[in-house]
Amino acid sequence: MSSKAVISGLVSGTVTFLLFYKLFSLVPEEAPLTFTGLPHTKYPEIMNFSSVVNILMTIILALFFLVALFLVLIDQLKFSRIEEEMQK
Amino acid sequence: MIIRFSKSQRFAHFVGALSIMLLFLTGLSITFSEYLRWLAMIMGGYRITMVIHRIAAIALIFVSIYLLTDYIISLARRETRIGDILFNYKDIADFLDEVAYALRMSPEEPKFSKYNWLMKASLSFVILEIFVFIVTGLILWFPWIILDHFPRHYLLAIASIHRNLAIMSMIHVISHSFGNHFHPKEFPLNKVIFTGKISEEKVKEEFTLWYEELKGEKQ
Repeated sequence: MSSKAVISGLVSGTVTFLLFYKLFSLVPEEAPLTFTGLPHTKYPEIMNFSSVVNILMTIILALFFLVALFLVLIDQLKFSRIEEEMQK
Repeated sequence: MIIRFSKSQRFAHFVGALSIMLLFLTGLSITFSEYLRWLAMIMGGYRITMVIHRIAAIALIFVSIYLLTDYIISLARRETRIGDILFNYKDIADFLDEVAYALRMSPEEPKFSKYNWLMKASLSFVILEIFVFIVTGLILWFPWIILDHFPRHYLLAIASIHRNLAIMSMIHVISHSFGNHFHPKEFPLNKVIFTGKISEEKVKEEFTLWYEELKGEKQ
């Protein structure tokens, strides 16, 4: 095993352990957090904010899907051209 | 044969791929519980599915820090350059040239270095994706870390980002698997990531600039 792999393993192991040690130490002793306590008076405002983020993420997702589709199409066009040129 | 991926990189790819698959399986059954309840039941119920999701997340965090450290050491030892793996201006030109070639508007393919523009774009996106996944995932797991600074309902928006990014990531993994592992030109399977080795002919043909660089180093 190379020294680089050993150093990377040690660093990542230590950082991951310390990160979770710190995060678990922040967990309060009372019952886990739930959404049951959402204030009803602010409900529309809360749902509006969440909906805006959701719509934004859905638009990004749709664009990402189109880009992925375009890239696969380009790749297949390139592949068919290479095949044609090899057959000549 | 030429070494393309080190043992470290292959190990990181294997652990990363395995943890991402587990995160998809468990995450989908948690998110779409109306339709995929059976999947969670196969894994032993929702409590166990949640535990598997968290263990896979820890593995992904570990492997991300591992790769980052490995890359920083490689940079410090001058074994690699930032432009070798991250998307840059030359890659935009390569992308346009490749589209022109695919659409038969250019007589020849652009020449690539060790990683082509698509591989670099994919890696740059993976870095962004994993960073957002880790941040949003940790906030959802440990919401107490933000509750002092942000209202509680922000968690709904963070959950939405996490979910949508997961679906985006699935599209990414499927297209990555097709383009790099199961491409028709490599039928039935491109084994480079498993063996770490690539033939000299393939390097000469697909990664011409890298081949010329390797030849230059030998002379």
